[in-house]
Amino acid sequence: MSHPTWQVFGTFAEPIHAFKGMQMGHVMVQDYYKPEPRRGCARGYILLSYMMTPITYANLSGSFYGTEFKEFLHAYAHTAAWWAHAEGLPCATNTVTLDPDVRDGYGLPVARISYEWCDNDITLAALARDKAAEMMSASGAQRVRLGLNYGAHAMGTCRMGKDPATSVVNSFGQSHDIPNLFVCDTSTFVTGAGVNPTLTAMAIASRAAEFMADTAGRGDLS
Amino acid sequence: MSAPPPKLPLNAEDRATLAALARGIIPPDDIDAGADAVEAGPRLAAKIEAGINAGLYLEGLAAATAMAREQFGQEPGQLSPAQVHQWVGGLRERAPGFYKQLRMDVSALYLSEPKVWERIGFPGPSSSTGGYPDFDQNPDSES
Repeated sequence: MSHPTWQVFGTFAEPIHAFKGMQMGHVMVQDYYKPEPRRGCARGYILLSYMMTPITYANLSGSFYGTEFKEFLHAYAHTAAWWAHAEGLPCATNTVTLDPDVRDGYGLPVARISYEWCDNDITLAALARDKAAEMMSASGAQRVRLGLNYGAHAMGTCRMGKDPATSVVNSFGQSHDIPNLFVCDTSTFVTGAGVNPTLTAMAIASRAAEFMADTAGRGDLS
Repeated sequence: MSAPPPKLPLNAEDRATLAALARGIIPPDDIDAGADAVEAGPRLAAKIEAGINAGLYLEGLAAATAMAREQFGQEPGQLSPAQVHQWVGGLRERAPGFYKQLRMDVSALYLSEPKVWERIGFPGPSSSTGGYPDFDQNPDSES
C-alpha cells in the first residue's frame, strides 16, 4: 500500500512566506478522516500543509513548463500548499513475489513488486484534492493549481491480526509461523492509514521490543 | 524518431539542442534569462559527459532532434521561442521519462542559484543563522 496523494498549491496576492518553519504539518485537517458512507468510497483522508524548498516546489508542481512554469516559480513567496493525503487500501492484485528471472549478487531471486492504486484509492485521493482546492480558494488564494498526483510511503505485505489464516503477525509484530521472527515496521499496517506513518511505526517497534524483552526474560523466546 | 542516439562527447548541435530544451523549460523574459542565466545547457552537457543519466539524455536528444525535424523541418537550435514551446510540449508526450528528468534538472540548476533565490523571495538555507526570523521579530524583513 501507499498513500495516494495530490499536491494542491494556492497563490496569494501578498507574500506569505509559507516556507518558513517546518515544511509540513503547520496545519493538519482531520475532519474528513472518519469514514463517511455518503462519500461513495471507503475510509477517509487528511490535509497537511506542506510548503517545500524551491527545488521540491518545482518538482511537485506537475509537468507544465515555459512561461507558466517560470511564473509559478517566481510566485514562490506568495504560495502555500496542501498535501491531500488519502488512506490507501490493500488490494489482492498488489503483490510482492520472487522474480522468476532476475537474481541478486548472491544468486537469490529479487523481489518483484506489482502495484497499482485501486479504484477506492483514486476516488478518495480525488475527493481530498478537491477539498484542498476548495479550502485554498476559501482562504483567499487568487490562483489554485493542482500539482503532482503521487504515492508516498511503503506499507503493508505483513498484515497484523489475530487469525493466522488472514494475517502474518500478531499484535506484537510476532510472526504467527515463526515465533522468534518479528516485523516492526509499516509492513504490518492493515491499511495505509491516512497519516504519515513514522510515529506509528515507532510505536509498533517499541511495543514489539517490550514484548520481546518480557518474553525472552521469561525464557519463552528462543 | 529513428535517429541513432548521439555519442559522447557531445557535439555543437547536441549542445545547442540541450540549451534550447532548457530554455523551453524556463524561458528568458524581462525578469532574467531563464535557464540561460544559470548556463543550464552547458552544465547539463557536462553532467551527461560525466555519465549522469547519460543513456536517458542521449536517447532523449535523439528523439528531440528527430521531432524538431519532423515538426518544423529545422534543427532544434534554429527554432523560434514559440516553436520551442510547442516542441517541448510534444516531447513531454512522446518521451515522458526524458522530459521529467530534463524538467527536474533544469529546475534544480535554476533554483540552486542564489541570485534566483533573491528574485523569488527565498532567503536560502538558514541553518548557519539559526533559522528564519519570525515575522514579529523582524517586521522589516521581506524574505
